[in-house]
Amino acid sequence: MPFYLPTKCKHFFKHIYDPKNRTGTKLRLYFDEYYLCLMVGLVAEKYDEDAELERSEITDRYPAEYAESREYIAGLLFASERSRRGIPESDGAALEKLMTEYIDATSKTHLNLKGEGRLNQYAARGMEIMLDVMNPPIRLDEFLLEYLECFREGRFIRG
Amino acid sequence: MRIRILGWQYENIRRMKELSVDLTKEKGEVYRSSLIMMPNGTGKTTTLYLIRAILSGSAKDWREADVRSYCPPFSDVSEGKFILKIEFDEDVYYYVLHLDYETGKAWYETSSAMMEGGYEEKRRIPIPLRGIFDNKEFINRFVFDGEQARKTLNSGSREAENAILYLYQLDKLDRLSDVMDHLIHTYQEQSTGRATARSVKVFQGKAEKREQIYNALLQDGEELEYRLVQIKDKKRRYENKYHEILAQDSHLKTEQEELMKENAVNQDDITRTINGLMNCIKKPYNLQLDYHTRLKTLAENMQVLKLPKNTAQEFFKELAESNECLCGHCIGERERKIILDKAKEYLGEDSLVVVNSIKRALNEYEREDTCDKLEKHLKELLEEETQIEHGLNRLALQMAEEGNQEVLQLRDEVKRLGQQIIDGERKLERLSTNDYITNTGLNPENNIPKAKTAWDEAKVNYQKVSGAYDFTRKAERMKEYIRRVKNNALKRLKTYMVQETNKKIEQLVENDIVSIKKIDGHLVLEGKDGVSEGQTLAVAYAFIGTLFEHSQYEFPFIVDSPAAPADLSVRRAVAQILPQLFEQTVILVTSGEKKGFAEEFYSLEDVQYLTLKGEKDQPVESIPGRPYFEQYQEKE
Repeated sequence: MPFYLPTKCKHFFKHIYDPKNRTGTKLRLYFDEYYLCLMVGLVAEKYDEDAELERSEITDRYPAEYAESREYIAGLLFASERSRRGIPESDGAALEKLMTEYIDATSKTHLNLKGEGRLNQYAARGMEIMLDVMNPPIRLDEFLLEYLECFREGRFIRG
Repeated sequence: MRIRILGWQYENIRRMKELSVDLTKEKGEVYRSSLIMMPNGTGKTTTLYLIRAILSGSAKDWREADVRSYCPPFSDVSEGKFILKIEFDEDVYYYVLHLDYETGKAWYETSSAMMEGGYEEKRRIPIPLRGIFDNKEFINRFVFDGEQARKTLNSGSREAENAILYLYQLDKLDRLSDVMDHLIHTYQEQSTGRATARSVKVFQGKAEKREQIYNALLQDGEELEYRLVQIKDKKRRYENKYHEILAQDSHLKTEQEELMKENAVNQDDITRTINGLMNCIKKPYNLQLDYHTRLKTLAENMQVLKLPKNTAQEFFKELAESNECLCGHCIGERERKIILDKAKEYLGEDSLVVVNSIKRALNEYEREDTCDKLEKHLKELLEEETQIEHGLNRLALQMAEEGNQEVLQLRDEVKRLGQQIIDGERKLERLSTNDYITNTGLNPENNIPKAKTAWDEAKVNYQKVSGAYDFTRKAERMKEYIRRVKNNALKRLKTYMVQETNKKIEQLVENDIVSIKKIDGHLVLEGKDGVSEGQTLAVAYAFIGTLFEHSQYEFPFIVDSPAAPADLSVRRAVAQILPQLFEQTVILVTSGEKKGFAEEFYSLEDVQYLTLKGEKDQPVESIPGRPYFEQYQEKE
């Protein structure tokens, strides 16, 4: 399953998204929006079983700017799922079983359809949490400061 | 078709008591270029308006005050006339515009050899030109002035694109679509299928209502878009004016310049910091310490638990295929099933490579503190931005204290317009969006896509009950083809126009790089918000030249003060290019345009010189010939 944006994403980020922007004062990729939502869902360790996603995919691989984060995103998925399922740190067999559930060596993301689908579900929940905690941003600089503050203060976890 | 202006006559129009302007030579042919010197106040603009009024037929809509404005001052004459003599191919037409100063009415009369019985009391245009001449905007294209040149580049105007539509008759395709609509309507009226006449009427009424709502919403959208362009333009002008006023005080000017410089540096730094911060948080471990802890804990666990295990799924699969286990036990069906089930808990060889690469990446990375530093720096920059804004506001207040209240008004007005832009854009979005998840409360009465769907549904219902469904579908498909043909032709014409116009601009503008990027209703310039008056003229003439070059109609070109705002180099270039663009060019000039412009014509063949002169409060008289034209210039 490729990456799909949560349905409310485009509207939420509309003032700070512009694919033609060359100055860097706007987000230029839909994947930027997706990533910002995903990180919120993962930190809260919450996903939406019935995620509301857009019908058309944004990409089936990580854009070049995110390619180096492939291993870290997969690692975070394992860490979050282990924590959610209550797998003890000492249980190597259960952890390896969890990995087999999500890994696909032939996939560009290292994850199989189930793994990518689960990331989509985390991103969808992340979007909902952001809507609860933040107002739709007008400026990217102000948004980034508030986003980082929410992480630091644990507001995304409480949300 | 060849169109030539042979001349015109004034009777009791402003300062013209009775005056004829003849643009023909001995054999009745017209001069290629006619330069008519008309000092300010003798009726240059009036002449242009009257020619336009005859060609477009717009005088029938004039108000009484408009008509009376042409009455000679301090005179009790009851009527004025303007007679225009035009040749369409071989046929000569006389158009008379009557101005009744008593009733305030204007009307036309036409006479030509083609018509019997002398003058006919209407404006009669040769059939092929009717759709074209009835459009006032198009007439302005070849009866031209500086205002028209500015319109070509005005972002709120669709004039440049419309000119292509009319001249190359693409609008006729719209008319073809209208004919199709008419046919559909007639077919629907005639065929009632199996439904009763009453139910057909009901469905027809519903469809018409939906159509009205859809069209009204479309119009609202267009008006809103137009208003937004105007407001943005106004805001930009006020901002410029605001800065200009501040710049009047030398002390404040220096302070303002320093603040603006600081602002530019600050904005650059903000942009750089945003980029840095975005790059930084693309690594999740930089985004938050908790992520870093989770990833490092996972890596440590994998290390301690010796994950991934060296035994791969493939080992168990191979084992399941054997008859005997490593320990010597026989492997039957039951054992084989257990081994294969167990195999699912182990990673395949390929997956081992992936897990190892994840493990390695998690072990090797080191968290940077760049993110925290950049965040702190960005906060400081935003505070600095606020300080700079306060500084600029303080300058405005200082200026106001010194008696210039306008600066405060301008500042407030800019803020108010900014808010209007935000509100307008929000309204426009609700009107045109099809995102109904985030925009709630939208329905066919307030949203264009929903209104269109409702109209389409109502149309289909009506067509079904009227038995005209299949016919209408085919007709709609035909209309779609027509629409595509029109859009495709327009697109290609626009591309051609841009290329050819840019070649001409290159000749006209020597000391600057000006080029057209695209035609989007108006001419959009490459990388520039605006150009000088002279350059505006150069762009407009170059566009006109290209526009008329391949038209099947040969239009004359009548222009008022073609070079007045231009500098000498543009004047000379315009003087060289104008006679080449058209077979007949009639140029109304003032003596101020002699230098650099009119004098360029002295070396050309086939040029007519006329001087219309008259002392103040005296009727104007016409004096032909170049010597007087030159002398008159010298006198003024």
